[in-house]
Amino acid sequence: MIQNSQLRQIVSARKLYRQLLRIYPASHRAEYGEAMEQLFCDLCRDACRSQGWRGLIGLWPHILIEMIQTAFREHIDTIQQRGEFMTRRQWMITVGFSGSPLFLGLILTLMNPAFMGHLIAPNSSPAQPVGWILIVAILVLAGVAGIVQYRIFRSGDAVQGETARQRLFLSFSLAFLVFPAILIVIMGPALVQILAMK
Amino acid sequence: MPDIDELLPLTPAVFHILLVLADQERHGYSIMQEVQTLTGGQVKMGPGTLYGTIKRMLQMQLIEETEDRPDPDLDDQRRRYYRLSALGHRVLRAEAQRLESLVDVARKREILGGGSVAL
Repeated sequence: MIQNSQLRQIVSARKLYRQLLRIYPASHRAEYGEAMEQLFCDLCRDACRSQGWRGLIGLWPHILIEMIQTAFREHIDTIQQRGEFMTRRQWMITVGFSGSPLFLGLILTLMNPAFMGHLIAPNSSPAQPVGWILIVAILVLAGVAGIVQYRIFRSGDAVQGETARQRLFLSFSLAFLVFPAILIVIMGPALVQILAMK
Repeated sequence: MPDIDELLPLTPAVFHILLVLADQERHGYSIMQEVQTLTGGQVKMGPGTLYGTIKRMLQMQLIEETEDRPDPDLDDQRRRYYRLSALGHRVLRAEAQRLESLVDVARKREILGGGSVAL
């Protein structure tokens, strides 16, 4: 027999569980949210009957871990079912747009004689701060570019096919890929000299 | 109609749900309780696992949802009932036969006791 105090605890637990269900996709919540709440209440009732309030508290760790695991899977399933998952071409463009600045940053870093000198001869003067600032700035730029590109592909424009915006980003991506390649060709000899200092 | 072999092997959650629905239609709490009883408490499904699996099984047409109604043994809330579909029956039988073959191999290699299992 469940006491009134335990009933109140179950009601409170159900309210909390209802709020936590928000981590699931909206479509999944609309379809199964009520049933999941009902099952949670059943579990709470069983826990209270067997172990009282301790059973109710002991229920939460398993519930929370399971919610995180299953919510993640439901989000992945929802994205795939809606067809919003990016095509291989879109992934390549996103990686190119965000990865090229990283590659450019790597090239510029290698071209920084003070930085390379420090790598080759640790006892020499440390790399100039401007080199590190440049690397951080390019990492931030790459991250922002990747996020922006991904959000654009997630939007309706990308689903409807190639648009002017996509072509613009594609051009930037190619530019970021070609520019570092040109730098390598031009600055290659200097790079070799730096490495030969060792 | 999907090829049954493409659906095998089943995940433990899917297999257990099909198993408990083999004899009668049940609602979510009944499914969870029966799975726990059948497995001696080793398999415990929470709401997320159970209804996520039910959703996918409905999509694969392994189970069907029947009319909502209260459970006379519980409270008066209307509960969603599920039953095996014809495909679900065939898939369950195929998976049970697959597991039976594996158990037979384990017995022949003396990993499990007892004689061979007739297929």
